[in-house]
Amino acid sequence: MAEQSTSTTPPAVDPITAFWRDMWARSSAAGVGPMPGMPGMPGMGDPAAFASPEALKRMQSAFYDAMAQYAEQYMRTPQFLESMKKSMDQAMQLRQQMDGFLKSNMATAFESATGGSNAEILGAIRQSSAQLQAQIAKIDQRVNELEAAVTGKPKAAKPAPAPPAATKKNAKR
Amino acid sequence: MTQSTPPNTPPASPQMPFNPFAQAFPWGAFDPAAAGKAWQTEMETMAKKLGAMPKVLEAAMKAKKGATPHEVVMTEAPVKLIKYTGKADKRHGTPVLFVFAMVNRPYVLDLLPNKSVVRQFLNAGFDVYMIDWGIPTPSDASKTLNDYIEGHLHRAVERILADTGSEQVNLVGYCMGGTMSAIYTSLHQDLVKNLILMAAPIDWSSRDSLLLNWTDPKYFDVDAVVDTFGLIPPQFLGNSFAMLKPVANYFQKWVGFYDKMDDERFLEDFFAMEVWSNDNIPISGEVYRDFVKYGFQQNALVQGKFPLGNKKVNLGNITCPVLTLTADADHLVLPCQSTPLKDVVSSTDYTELSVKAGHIGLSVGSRAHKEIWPKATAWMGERSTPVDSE
Repeated sequence: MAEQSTSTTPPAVDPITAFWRDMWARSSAAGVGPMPGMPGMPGMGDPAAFASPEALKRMQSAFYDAMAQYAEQYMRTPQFLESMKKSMDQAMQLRQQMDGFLKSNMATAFESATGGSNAEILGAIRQSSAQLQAQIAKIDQRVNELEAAVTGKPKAAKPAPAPPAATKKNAKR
Repeated sequence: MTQSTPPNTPPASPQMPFNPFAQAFPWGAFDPAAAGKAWQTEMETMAKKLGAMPKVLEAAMKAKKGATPHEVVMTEAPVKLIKYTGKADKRHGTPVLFVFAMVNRPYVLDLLPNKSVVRQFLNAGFDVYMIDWGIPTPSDASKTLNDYIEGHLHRAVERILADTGSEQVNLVGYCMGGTMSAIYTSLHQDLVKNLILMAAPIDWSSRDSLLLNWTDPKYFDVDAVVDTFGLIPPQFLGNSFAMLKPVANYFQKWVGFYDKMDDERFLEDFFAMEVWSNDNIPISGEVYRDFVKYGFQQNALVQGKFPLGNKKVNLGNITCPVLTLTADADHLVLPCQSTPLKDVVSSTDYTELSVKAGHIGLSVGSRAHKEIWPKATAWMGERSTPVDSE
């Protein structure tokens, strides 16, 4: 069975040609006429217009706009996303290899802790700290409840006093 | 019908492939005398630019981080709470707390004396505070968004309330800091009087944003990245942001610099911005995981499914007046990512303002300082407690 194409996509255009045409279309819109004989650009621009600095600025701007648009389009393509993923995977692999090397060789050689073991210790401290804070919060709640039961009125919901601060005056910069 | 061609135009051949370079050259307009003059002018311009080099170096050396005097009133390393000191009379009893994103330094809100959002609020008669998340160390890699919002941010708010005697604060959150401010307000609505969100991502459903394409779970495994790196490296974040607009950041910026490098005012602005944009900092891996996974990848915040500690964030708890500020040319947080907030909050007093600017232009752009900030400070002033009644 013959396959019928229902696609409305325009015929494939070489991306560089497409970029170039787009740039000229933008230049045209910015007031710089198309050059003689440009395919797809009927009519002829005023050659003198190309000599003025303003026209060159507009052309430069049109060039950057077209380039930015094509760069953005490219950065959305699966090809780009795949290459980005590969780069990330390689970067992570390298990091893991370096961590592994440091962990196994350097730490033994220098009898020192590695970044990994530091992170593990800090993680454990943080976990203990969180558990302690949760316990303190529970005790605080119990104390409040007891206070309320003894005095017969609930404690006012005032913000807790701030912890002692390391105040440092900053000189006028 | 014939088409006239300039005398020097090479004959067109239907068999020849399209050669844009050959076609583009204005053969008919070429004039050796004019070209010589243009060459001479260009040489003179170049000499002028070279002459400006000492000024360029001087401006680069003079670039500062922040413009307004301040003092540090609370430190929880690496986080600092800063209070700005201004000369304007205090007219509002409700203090303002700025909450910036954790991926860059917050002094962009106080970049230069004439481009300082902080000064706009100081001059409007507010007490102004800013939370500086600082530069995280490997020991901060396991800190979660909950640790920052319910921990550091909440304690900063308590400290401000204790210092000023006010019962509530006004929150101004920028970018990711805006999302954090909205989450905080939903959890502590009683402590927040008014909420201003600047280019704050709330809804990640639009696929127009390049960042959303890049963080697609099919191509980006956030768990693997966080588990490998711990702290997300600043170069990774900085390059990702720059690559969102590669032509502007890697070409146009420097062409513009060359054009204006003999203008002292331009140099001051340029280097202030360069210092800030290159001052990237790492971010805690767990915060990055929370944000990418539940924000970018699952769009959980507007659905009331964003987890924070053992809770789910419900933005419907926000009842205070809300002002959403967006920049219509923002490529980092599209306006359509901020404005859905109006559909999820319970506030009856909700306002939106937009300015013709980019993401950073919202805080440092001349247009924003002329059009948006006077309105925003007035909006907050009308809704804050007057100083006499505190």
